[in-house]
Amino acid sequence: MFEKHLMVCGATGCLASGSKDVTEVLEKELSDRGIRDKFRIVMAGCPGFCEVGPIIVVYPDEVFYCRLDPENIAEIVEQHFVNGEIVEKHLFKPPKSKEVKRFYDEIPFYSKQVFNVLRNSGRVNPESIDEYIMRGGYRALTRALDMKSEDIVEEVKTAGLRGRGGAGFPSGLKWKFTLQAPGTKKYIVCNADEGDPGAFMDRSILEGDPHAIIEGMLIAGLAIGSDEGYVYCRAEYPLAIQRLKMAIEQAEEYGLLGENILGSGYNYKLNIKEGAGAFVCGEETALLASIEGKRGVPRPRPPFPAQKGLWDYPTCINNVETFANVPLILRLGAEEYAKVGTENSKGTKVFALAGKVNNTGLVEVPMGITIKEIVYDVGGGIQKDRAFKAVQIGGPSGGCLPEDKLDLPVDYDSLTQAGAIMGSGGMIAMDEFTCMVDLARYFLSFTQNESCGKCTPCREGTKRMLEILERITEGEGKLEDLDTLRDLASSIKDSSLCGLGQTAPNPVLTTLRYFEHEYREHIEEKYCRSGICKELFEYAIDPESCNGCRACTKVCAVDAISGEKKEPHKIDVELCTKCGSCVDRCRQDAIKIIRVGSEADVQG
Amino acid sequence: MGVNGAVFYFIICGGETVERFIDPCCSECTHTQETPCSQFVDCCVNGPLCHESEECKQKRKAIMDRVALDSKFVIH
Repeated sequence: MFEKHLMVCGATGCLASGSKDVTEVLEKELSDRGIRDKFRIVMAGCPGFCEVGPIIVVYPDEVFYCRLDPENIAEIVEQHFVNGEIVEKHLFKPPKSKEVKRFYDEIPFYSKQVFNVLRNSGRVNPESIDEYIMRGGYRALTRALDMKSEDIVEEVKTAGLRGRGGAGFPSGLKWKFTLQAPGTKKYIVCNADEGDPGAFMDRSILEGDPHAIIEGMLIAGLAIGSDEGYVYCRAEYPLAIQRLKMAIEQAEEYGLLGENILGSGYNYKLNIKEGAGAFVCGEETALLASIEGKRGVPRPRPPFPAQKGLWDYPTCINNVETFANVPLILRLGAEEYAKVGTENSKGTKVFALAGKVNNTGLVEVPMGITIKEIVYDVGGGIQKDRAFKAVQIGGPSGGCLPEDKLDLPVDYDSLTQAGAIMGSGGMIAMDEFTCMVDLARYFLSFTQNESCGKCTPCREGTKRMLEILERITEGEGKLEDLDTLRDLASSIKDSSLCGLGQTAPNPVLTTLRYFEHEYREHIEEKYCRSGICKELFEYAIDPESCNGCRACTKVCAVDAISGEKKEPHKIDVELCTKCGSCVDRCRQDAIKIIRVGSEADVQG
Repeated sequence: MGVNGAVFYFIICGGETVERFIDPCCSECTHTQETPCSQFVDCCVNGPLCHESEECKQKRKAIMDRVALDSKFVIH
């Protein structure tokens, strides 16, 4: 028996910040002391708190060590694992707090989270089917094998599960359509082509709990009468693919995948198709074309994939997170599952929380939680106590919601009504130093680059919109541009072939809706209040606030700041490249964003 | 598995190492890919279901005890 289980985050994020090196040193330290056998070390799935990785959670103590590097390990081994004293300096300490959080469940980041989909992530060895079974895994499949297809569909409908990949279409209804479609051959496809910038929900689920996806797909196969499925996963997720392949092999060996599953007569073959990373392949018809070996471009619908999908057979496509919910519904029962969430949005949603919050990472929250709770309670508020400005929900297809929407409940209907979408789960918080015009330009440049070019509204329309936004951010905008942007956005939404084009204008429309004053400032006053659009502002040092500490001069790469020590400094606007390093460094908040040529106002 | 673990398994299993749920606990268990048992999944955690054997039960428990992080880890 092991004395302790050391769950090291072995997901891509922590691996990138050095968790493999930490593990190697941990192995060596324990071996050198002759106590290796007392400890079980697991490269586990993501515990979510990416901001503070690499992470080790020690069980059964539930001690959460974070921000580790290999040099910290000897001390932890000696003090905690040998002498039994927790090493406080490697525990989590919330910003501006002197009190460390000793245990996992005391950390505010986790306090409002509900782990449905991420129930196993970070707690099991993702490469062990036995541990998945211990955690209740494959029991939903066993139950489903005794049910009629129609009853499984009804259970998923009753649970109120909606697609977690973007639009939130009711999953049970989609399954019903595929079940009712005529045909002897049908496919299940798992969309793991996660393309939103900064989003990593699907990757983490696949890396941390791959059997949940297999079980979800097996149940879906039973529900619609399919004997074959594909997981379409982008090739830049090598760890996710590796773990999924391993999980498939194990499930086959255990008789849970393949021929005559558990003696039921149900056969199921599961394939993995690696995608090349085109954003458009996250669109279902483009994804199907890519699996078929064709160029990944969308096609008009109808017919919908449920009627005519992969190789023209009825096909049910769901996202990774959707499939991960399915075993829970079948195991707990629809009514129990539906206790979490709101009337029309049941269960939880996983978000990749990023941007200017203190706690970034992967979070799973109940539907109906407010944006404020996610940003301030889970996310720990805005960095450096700056003002919250907006949150972008739904990635490039989503929208920006301002401060007065902080109390908006996060559910499909409320978000859509406010102009955003749930999307696949990207959530980016922004502070006062984010320019909303530049943000719209950024997202549109992404969708423009990723437009497959098949339909004119998306290909040409987003390009024209991008040109206008670039002009505005360079100080060349005209007021009539705002109407042109709205007209173009409306045309693109109405006439694009696929969801990518139809939603591409959303960031522009929502920033126009909630931040039109910033657009007008850029156009009429040639001023970017956030200090992002370089043609539209200057930096100046407020002599009243500057204490002459010289911190800014040390980070200025072009020596644009001058002044004697303990005397107010000055910025040479001719030399200044507006990189913003001095703003980040100044503790007095003395460096101000001003209108071009208005330095005298600051100098007083 | 380390030395302590191996000794533990030797004692529990009377010399037969059962490290995974797919390994048969005794000749009574016939579940394989080719000869599947409908009760296999439930049997892993709550078994044996097709015969009475404290020894076979302990073999399953040993697999679970080895990796269970806490008392709530295994869902019966």
